[in-house]
Amino acid sequence: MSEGKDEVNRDQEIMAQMDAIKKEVAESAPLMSDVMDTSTLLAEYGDPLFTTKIKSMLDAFPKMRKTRGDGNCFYRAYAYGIAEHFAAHKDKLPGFLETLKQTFDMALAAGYPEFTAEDFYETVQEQFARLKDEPMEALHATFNDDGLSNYIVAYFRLVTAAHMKTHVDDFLPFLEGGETVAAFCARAVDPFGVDCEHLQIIALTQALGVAVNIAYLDRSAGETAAQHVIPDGQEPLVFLLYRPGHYDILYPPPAVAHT
Amino acid sequence: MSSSITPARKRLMKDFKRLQEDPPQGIMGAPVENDIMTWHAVIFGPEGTPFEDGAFKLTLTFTEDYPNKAPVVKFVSRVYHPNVYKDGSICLDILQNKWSPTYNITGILTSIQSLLDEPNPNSPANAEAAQLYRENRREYERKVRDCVEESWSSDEEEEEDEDEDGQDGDDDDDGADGDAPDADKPDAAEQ
Repeated sequence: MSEGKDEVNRDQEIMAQMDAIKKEVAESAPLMSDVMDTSTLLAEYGDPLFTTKIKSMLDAFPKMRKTRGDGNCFYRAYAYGIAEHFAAHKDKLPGFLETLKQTFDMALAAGYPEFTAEDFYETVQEQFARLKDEPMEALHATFNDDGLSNYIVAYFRLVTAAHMKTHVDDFLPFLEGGETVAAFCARAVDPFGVDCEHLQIIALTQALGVAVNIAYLDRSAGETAAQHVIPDGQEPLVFLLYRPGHYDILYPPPAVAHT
Repeated sequence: MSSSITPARKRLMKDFKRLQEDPPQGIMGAPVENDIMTWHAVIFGPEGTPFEDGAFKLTLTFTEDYPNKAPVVKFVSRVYHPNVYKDGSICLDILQNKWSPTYNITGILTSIQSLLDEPNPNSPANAEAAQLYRENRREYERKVRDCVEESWSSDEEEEEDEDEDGQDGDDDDDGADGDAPDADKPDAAEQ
């Protein structure tokens, strides 16, 4: 230990730097914001292409809710959207809780240890079950509590990976460079804070049986924001806005604006 | 808020219980007295490897972000290994960019144990050890045997070395997300 430090642990330095950046983001934005006008986005863009696309969305989605940009935004926004849906359709909640239970069995079947997976599962089951007799406001607080909110994200990541690992044939053809599903999950699903991409969205929405409509506010051609429902052909229960690297929640006109 | 038991502490107690009930071979670990966020561990070198008979001590430092964030794990004993830095910190993907909250302390320690005999020479933390490992295995093993011998002898001195990392200059990492001083107390009673 006394030979001097010619070799420094760069990983540790990089991680410390990333932590500092994340902390800055955390201090500037809540995990889940209150509802706001979608038109507030106009102030963020000077670019005419984006301005045109935003204006084209305002009738369909007059309201939105922002998610903190921490690499977990898809998982968190989607989970929040699901909670809002079942808060407004309490009769359908028991079915969803049952689906959650099945996803836990699937996680065990995929080889995740019960000992660690059950903490995340129990948190999600417990929090969503509160919607039986509590309003969405209660869950809004949950989603803004670091500990609980991050456990929900961790569980949704687990479900995503477990679904891919138990449906290898569906996903393997889409992986590049001969990567295995297990390696993909270890790199792009399991680690906390790694962005969610198309394949993960397909896996998660299939596993939970809740379709999502995504409006794409990006540089692609066209005067309107393209929209896609995943999984294809199902009725979307959650509406999200995609901007490169980020997801927020959108609300169609009779907005489910709880806060 | 700070008096209620946080998810990180709850999980660490569970990890501890698990490790006591079902200890993997060649691994010991426990939180230090009155602080569940700091652990001491010992990894015994796997049999049939140059690390055999070594008893290497480590510290694990957790934050309230555990298990969503990996702990900082460092060898306290000197370990001559391609993926171990001079300050004892370890270059292992599951402690860095491949950390997943489904990992636990047992998993961390067993991964480090396997790393001992399965170094990854492509991400060297100790360039000399990496080079000897590739080019002069006999000399590499001799140096490993030296640190194995040291691992039994220098217990007391090393205990004191532990706090050194505080003065490394870049305190923004441990300093900022370390525990608030008052956060240490409540959990001791909860056990």
